[in-house]
Amino acid sequence: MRTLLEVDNVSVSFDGYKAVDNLSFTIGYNELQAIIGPNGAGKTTFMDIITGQTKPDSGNILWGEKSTNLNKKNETEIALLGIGRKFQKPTVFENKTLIENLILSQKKNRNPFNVLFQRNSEHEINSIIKILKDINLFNIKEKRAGEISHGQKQWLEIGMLLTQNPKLLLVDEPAAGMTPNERNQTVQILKKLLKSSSIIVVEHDMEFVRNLNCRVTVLNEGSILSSGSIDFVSQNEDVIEVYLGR
Amino acid sequence: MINKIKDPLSQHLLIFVITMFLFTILVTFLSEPYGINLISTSFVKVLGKTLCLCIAAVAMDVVWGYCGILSLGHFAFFGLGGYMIGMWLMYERTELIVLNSINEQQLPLTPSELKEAIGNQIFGVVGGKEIPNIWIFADNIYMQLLLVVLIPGLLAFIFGWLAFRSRVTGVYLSILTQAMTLALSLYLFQNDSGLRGNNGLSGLQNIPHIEGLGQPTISIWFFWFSSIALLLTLFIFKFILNSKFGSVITAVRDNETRLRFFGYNVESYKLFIFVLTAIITGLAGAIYYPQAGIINPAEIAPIASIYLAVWVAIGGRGNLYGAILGASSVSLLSSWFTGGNAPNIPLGFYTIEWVNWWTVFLGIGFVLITIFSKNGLIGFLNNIFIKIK
Repeated sequence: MRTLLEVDNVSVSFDGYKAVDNLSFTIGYNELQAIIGPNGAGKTTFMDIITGQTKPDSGNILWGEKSTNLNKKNETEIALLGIGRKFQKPTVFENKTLIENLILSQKKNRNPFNVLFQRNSEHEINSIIKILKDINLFNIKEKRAGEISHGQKQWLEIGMLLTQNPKLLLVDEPAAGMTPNERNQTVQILKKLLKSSSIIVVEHDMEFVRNLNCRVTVLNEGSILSSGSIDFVSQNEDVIEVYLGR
Repeated sequence: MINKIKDPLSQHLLIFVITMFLFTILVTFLSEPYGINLISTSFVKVLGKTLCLCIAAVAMDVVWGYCGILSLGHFAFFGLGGYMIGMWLMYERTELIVLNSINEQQLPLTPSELKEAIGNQIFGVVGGKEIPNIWIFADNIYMQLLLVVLIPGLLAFIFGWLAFRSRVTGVYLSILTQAMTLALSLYLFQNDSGLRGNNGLSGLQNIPHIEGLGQPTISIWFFWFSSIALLLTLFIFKFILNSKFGSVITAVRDNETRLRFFGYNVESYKLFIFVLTAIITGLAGAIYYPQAGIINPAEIAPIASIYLAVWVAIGGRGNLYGAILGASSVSLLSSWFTGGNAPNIPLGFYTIEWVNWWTVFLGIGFVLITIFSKNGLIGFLNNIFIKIK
């Protein structure tokens, strides 16, 4: 498989505390992977390193076919390369309709004078409709974002990321606060998105991760404890010890 | 469906345009020069001035109600617009008067003598006769009209650029804008500011070259100007607010940080709106003061800008018609109560004199409206309307 992102022997420490320790990780094109681990395992720091919020002390982050080094790039540059991140707490514009939210996030010229006269082409409308269908919100597209459920807001936020055409999606706890039915739909949505991008899901919920049916990486104290299918990692003694055993 | 560009001539706007048109015709029909002489010239002027205040309120609503910038200094731009047009009005009229008096004496003057005579006339009151440098274009109406746009625009640009770039927001920004209008007002109060200190510019109601038409006719003309200007202002802002730009600025109001994450340069949007509303407010001032007849630095005291915000809050924020309703009702009531028309209420032991008690009344009204109707008068009317339906 061709490699989309390679995290190569990366370490980060804060005041001597090793948040991430010699971590290596790769993900291919259109691949779904999950990362699990107890609190403080370094999951958030791992995401911060990829999106440029935190710079690694050592090691390299390589991106795409040309293996571009991301170490020196800032958040905006990395976002423009095609890495989108969904934060835990959904922040959508509650006074606007779902469509207006998506139009706002669209990848287009942001210059005020340009925006004043900006209209959407047929093609752009179709891509927004497609996203609305992908995130199961097409039927309520005219509703205000403040009126939809927490789970639907999570999907809308994913949709807003999709308007930017990311190649890699980092999704932080997508199932948090969702009903079982919404969790199942979230799994379906993420699988649909795999057609156009790669996805890294960070999650606590084992059942949700099991449903994703993908490669799982267990982090503990900044390094990889085990990696493989969910059944494989959940039989690992160390994993049971630090994570599942409690 | 998704691309639906909200029709700039929406139903509400159409109703408003028709109402304004009928109102303007009605006032003209009731006026002295063009109709049956039922309403006085001074009342026509009050109505015309009220329309100009409505323009300023609409601009205030855009910058505050839609973009979330509580500017408490927008009246400074209103005053600057008035000063810029006032300079031409005063200079041109004085020049005509001087030339007239010379004609009677049959003694032609050299240009420098003419300048000195004009300077004496205008600046004698502040003990000078030199025409200050800032009056360099005062004899040219086109230049001075350009300054009506440029000066408020430039002040807003410099102030906004500094404030927004440093990410000054919320109440700190409001305080800064108050400081701006206070500083400007204090500067203009000085006799050597070049704009006649506390005397301000006066006689502005006498429009050079058309003075002979008489105030009744001129007042109707300005009433029409004001009316058309208000409609144009609404068209411009409706166009902007209905575009994607409008969606971006309400997003600035609701969650500026999130918007930044999407790669929008929030500062340039704020600056755009701040400058545009300043220019429109300045233009409104340029139509207002020829009807008022006089402008002095007290006009742009900090309280004036606060009133502007109060009108918008009473009328209903985030709704341009609300701003118009608030500004017109409060300022008309204010001129009624303070104009000595309202009957005083004798209570035996005390007499309520409205001239003094009006602001108390306004204050109570403001508190009541903010408590009972979140969306101001317009929200209150809307609720009634929905219930009737």
